[in-house]
Amino acid sequence: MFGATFALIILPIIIIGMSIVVFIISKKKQKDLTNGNL
Amino acid sequence: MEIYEKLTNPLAFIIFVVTLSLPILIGFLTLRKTKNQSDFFVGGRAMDKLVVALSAVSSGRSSWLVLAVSGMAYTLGTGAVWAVVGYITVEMFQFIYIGQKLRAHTETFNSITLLDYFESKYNDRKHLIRITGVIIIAIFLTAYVAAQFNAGAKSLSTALGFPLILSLIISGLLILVYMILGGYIAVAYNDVVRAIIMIIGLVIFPIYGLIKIGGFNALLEILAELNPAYIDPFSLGIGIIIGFLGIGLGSPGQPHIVVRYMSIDDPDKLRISTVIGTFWNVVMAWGAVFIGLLGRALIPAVENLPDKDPEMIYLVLSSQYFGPILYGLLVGGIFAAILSTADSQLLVVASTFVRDLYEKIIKKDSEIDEARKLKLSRYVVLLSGILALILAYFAQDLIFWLVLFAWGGLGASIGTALIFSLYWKRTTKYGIAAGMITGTLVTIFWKLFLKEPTGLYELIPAFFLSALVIVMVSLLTGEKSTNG
Repeated sequence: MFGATFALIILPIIIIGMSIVVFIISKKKQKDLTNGNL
Repeated sequence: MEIYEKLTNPLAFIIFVVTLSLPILIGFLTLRKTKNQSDFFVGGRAMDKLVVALSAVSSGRSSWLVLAVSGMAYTLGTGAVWAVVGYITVEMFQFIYIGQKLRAHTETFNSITLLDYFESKYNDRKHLIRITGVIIIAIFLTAYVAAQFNAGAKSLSTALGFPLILSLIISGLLILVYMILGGYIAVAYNDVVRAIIMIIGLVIFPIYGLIKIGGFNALLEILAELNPAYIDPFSLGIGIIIGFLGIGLGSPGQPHIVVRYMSIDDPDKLRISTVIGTFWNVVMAWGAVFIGLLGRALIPAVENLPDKDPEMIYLVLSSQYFGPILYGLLVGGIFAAILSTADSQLLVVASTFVRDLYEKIIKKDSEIDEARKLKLSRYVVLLSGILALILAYFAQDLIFWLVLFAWGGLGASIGTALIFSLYWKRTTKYGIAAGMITGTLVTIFWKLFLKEPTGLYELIPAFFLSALVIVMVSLLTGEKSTNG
């Protein structure tokens, strides 16, 4: 039962959470780009 | 069981037809926004973050998500989630770590296509990368579009009882009219509308099904009783799970997905697009998985599905459990899914023919004014569409054979080349071209001869071998390449 709950409920929440983390930590990269650092 | 019988209900039929023809209206609405070739192929790099996020999600998925993933969950149980985890995770990072850099580079180089970008970045005056890329993209994506047309027309033919040729013409007209009018802008806005239709189906279905069955725990209990493996996501074995996760390696190489990042108005907004895109990617994918699982609980015997085909579960449940309005919308949603991929791919095919082949290779010494470029682009969309329709009707075996290699072939050629071009400064044009060729050939060879004995999904070895060749050839040709 835990495996199914993990796959169907916890895993999608982890992935959405990861996207928020990626959003937050990506801030610095953007600054590099806007300074013309390609 | 007649899954399309309900379309004889006038209300269901009207909703179905409106769902299918709405995009043409959007084509007319976006006509005035399309003033030059850049507008026509990359939305003038002025698209909104929400449009880019939903368009990237919707054009990347096709009917594979609605029909195949739900069918996979019906057959395999909860283990089907691994088929969606890989691409969702890769695309999450892709929005930012590929999208932002690519968007910045393509604006600097004024690139409209991916091959424009490669050629400018490596100052490839002999068009080595462009010619290699044109061949790979033209073959794989044209076959892809033709296969989508074929799948769409076959479903339409079954649904409405039309002959295949008529269904093909209708499918072609349904997308070519708005593509010619509004180009990328029409395609992107239509992707948003279609994403919403797909989301409605993939959200309402599981909620309704869970209520009907008595909740999440009741679903798991029924599945466990049918087969304990259905509720064990690891029952598939590590080899299959790795293969499923490996599907994600293909995403960076799909030009019709990557071009979305090039079209955003401000690269910084790709950061929020990653959250929007991932959220809806998850909702849609898990919706499809739940539909398959609920289908197994509600209709346990596959013999009770048309042609004993698990991929029919979405259509069967729509027909059995919903009234005419929702049914018309849900069935229209399948066509929406098919067409939202076909139009995005067709636009890339057309840009490859008109921009990469005609303007940059055949007519490279001539100046073509903007008005003529736009006109030419419209003609080429029409001609590419007709070509795909002809292939869809006359060369079905060939296109379905080619499509077997398309996702992997593009992922292991364009994908690795793109990643190295953005992240490894020592990459050379010879490395890029050699990597593209290696990725394509290894995908085909592995699929034909080594997939069965090894059990390994072809994209995984092809991706890493392509990367290895890019590194080796770039190191060997480092001096040569700097001289152009």
